[in-house]
Amino acid sequence: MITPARVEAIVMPILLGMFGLFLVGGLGLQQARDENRTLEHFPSASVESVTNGTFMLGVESYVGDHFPWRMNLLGAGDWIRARGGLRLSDEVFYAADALDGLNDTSNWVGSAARLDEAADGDENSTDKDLEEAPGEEGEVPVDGPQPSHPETAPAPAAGSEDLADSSKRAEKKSDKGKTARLRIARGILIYKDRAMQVFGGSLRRAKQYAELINDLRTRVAPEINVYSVVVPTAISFMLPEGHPRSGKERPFLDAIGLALSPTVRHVDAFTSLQAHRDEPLYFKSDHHWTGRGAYYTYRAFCERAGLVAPSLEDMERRVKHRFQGSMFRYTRDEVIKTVREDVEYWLPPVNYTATRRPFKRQKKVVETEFLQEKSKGYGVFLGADWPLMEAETDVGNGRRVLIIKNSYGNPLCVFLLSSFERVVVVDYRYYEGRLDTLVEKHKITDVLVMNVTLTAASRNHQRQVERLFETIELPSADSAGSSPTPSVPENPVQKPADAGVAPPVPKSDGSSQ
Amino acid sequence: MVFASLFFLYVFLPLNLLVYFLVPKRVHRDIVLVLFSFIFYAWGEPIWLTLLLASSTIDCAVGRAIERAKTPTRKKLALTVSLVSNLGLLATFKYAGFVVGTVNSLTGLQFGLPSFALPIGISFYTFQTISYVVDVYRGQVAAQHSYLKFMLFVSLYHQLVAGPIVRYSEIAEQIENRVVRANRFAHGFSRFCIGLFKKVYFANLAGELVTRYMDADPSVLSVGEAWVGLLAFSLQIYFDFSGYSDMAIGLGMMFGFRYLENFDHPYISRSVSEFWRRWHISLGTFFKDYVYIPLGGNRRHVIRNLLVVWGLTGLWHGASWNFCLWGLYFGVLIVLEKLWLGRWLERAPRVVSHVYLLTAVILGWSLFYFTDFAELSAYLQLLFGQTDAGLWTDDLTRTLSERMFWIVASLAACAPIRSIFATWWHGKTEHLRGGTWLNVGLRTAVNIALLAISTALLVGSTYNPFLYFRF
Repeated sequence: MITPARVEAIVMPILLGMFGLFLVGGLGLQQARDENRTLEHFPSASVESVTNGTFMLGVESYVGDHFPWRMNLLGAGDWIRARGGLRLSDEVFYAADALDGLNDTSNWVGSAARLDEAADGDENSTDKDLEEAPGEEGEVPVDGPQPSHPETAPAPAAGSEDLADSSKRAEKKSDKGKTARLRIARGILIYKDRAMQVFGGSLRRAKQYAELINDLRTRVAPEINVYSVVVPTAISFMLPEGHPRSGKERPFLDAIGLALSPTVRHVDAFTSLQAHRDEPLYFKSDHHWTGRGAYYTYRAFCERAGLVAPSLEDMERRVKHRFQGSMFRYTRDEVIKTVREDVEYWLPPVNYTATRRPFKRQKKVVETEFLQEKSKGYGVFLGADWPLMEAETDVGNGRRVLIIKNSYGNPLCVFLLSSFERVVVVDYRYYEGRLDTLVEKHKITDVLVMNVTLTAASRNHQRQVERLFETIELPSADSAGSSPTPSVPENPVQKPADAGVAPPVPKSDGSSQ
Repeated sequence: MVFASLFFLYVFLPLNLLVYFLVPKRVHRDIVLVLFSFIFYAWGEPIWLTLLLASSTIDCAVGRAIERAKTPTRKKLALTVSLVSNLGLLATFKYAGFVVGTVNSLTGLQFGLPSFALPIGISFYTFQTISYVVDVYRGQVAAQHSYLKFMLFVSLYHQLVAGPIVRYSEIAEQIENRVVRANRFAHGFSRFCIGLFKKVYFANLAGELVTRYMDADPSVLSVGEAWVGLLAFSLQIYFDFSGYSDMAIGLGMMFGFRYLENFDHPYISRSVSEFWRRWHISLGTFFKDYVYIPLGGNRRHVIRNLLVVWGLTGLWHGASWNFCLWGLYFGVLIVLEKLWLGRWLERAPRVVSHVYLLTAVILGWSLFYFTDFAELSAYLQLLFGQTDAGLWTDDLTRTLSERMFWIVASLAACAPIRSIFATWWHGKTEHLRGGTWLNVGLRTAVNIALLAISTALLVGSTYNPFLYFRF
């Protein structure tokens, strides 16, 4: 008998089940195909993946990714959030800005890591790593999903459009609202057709960061030069003059400069970037800077290091087109969605050979190149955030650099090849070995610690840097006192007995995994 | 697995309902529920299923042993076995690190820190089985002879991982013979949708403010932001936990179980004692029945008993001194209320007692939130203007105004508006012709809306664990 209660009881579960059937029936698949996304694969069940839970995580990701009308629901979610209150002025804030995950610059587009890890036989990333805030203790997905980016750049749609077109369109849109587009979506500020992360670091964090570098200074031999480069983000230069949100990075950087020990060479990236603020120093749709931005910083570094940087004209310039960065995924903003950009890069005017280490088996040595021309977008620089890269060039000037960086440093590393006979690149988030063996093995003369304000101000990143620095034993009292002359090519360090690979030291606590 | 996930909502739950109601015999339905519960529990960390099985097997055996035991000594012995195994589990997995850490810091010794991940829901299911064994020992319930039915009681996924702490005596009857009526089922479903909405809309959005302010470096915050952060946390933890309880109760109704209410609008209370009669009720009554009264209750050593109970209540929430302090803080307030404050509050105007309670509870949440005392003190200094931080920022004005509707709605949802409205509406529509159909239609529409909003918000968020999973 049909009673109201029975009808009520039966309707809702059927509704739930229908969505479930859509899911199984592949409706979501079709939807996702329309969005040009790479889809989460259904995880393969094995004894291992079930017992360690990765299978279940994979199933949940799969469901999230294939959910029917996913894109419409995402839009609806944003709509609901945006209607939680009143709008003030033309700055629209969406609710979500807890994406500390943005500070983790490991997530970027089109990286070769994906290919590499696939070749290594590893399961690949989920698109969760974009949105998951890194845990307090600095989770680095070394064992889990690799830092390859989920969003391979969208396949070209029919009818190409270049950057100029898209920005024109963006401007047209903004004209409609009369005021310039300036709003904040999910913690990212959008001005015209550019998305920027909002910086909010405190001076205390600046001091903490400087103290880290000062600590490194005491750990390496005095004849080795230590440099600190912290670069600002787009928000310092790309907002209208005097906008309150644009003025936060300069004081932060100045505070680092003031707190650094005089024996650390402070590279003022801010000033050198500012001088070229009209050039494309930062991507509009990605959270990284461009090769050009890196070049001006590199030039400032060379001045401090007593080196001569080749001019941009002296190097062969190449361009990759139609790059869409990570920011659309974060903001899902209609204008950012249309932005396609050029990625400029320059071939280093030197000959070099290079190796890198895979994420999981860091003892393994793989031949590589610093420019990965087959990678998409920003991935052209180094290909991925490899834990360790070692390059030997024919520069022959006796200078050997160790750079400690995150993904912001990648384009800078490419330029370093032009000025050093040895370039050793360590990503502090993934490298599991010791630094002191690296310094000894390569007879390092210059150590460059490179960071970006956002991550330099992050406690999480600071801890990771600190942990890495602690792999250099503090010198005993009697070894101090050697001459402080910079860059002595004939380094009095002992040749390491083991000429092979720096032994990866398992971290004492598992928290960094 | 968590309730507030697309996988649970659209795959696990429909499948569970389908299989459950396709199977006609109750014993098979029991098996279905137990199997689904195992999958639910093992989702993510299957290893802990072994712990759950081992622990409940012991308790099942102990229950029967107590019933069979001829002498009081044997009964006691059996009870001791169960208590030792349950509390031992808790001690090992939850408190070992904490105890060793405390000993090390007090003595300067260097014992290795045992580092177990906390098995999900261990605090909840160990308490459930303790209550069962103690009740059997006291002769208040008959022991369960069927292992299957006992497993059903312990592992039922509705309340397994985050409560309410369901006592065996409450559902013994339903385990034996339960009937699902369409009416109850529909109400259960509505209840579930409400709980889901509380979690996804109120708690998660509040959580964003919490992260923004309470996780920030206090030196960059203004006083206003610090208070907003703390208020947001008060909302978050209430909606998170009571939403979970709603979902558990709703699921129970859909399968023919009646779990007792776990929350009764705690923020409308006028004293701390009342607050704790309305907040996490199943935990409060557990401590009352199994600790406070055995210690002597109101008859002797009242103050000692209260402080013991509240210290333990605090520690139950987490193996850290701040939780202990948080519990004792309420213990002290309750002692004061018993001595004189309570009588004074009763006479005072409602506003005064209400403000007192809210202040006490909200400040209490700061103890709860910060496990690190240095962070806590920095935050408290900021709250009370003991730093040179400004009072307010434009950013805060903006943040608040663009959440204005949400704020109003969430504050209103702390009060019993739903039941007030339901009573009023029922009175209006009761005698209408077709009123039942009208109400069915309305309820379904509301459910669909709640579900749709929750789904839309869930699709965009990937990570939203329940706070009480930690305990």
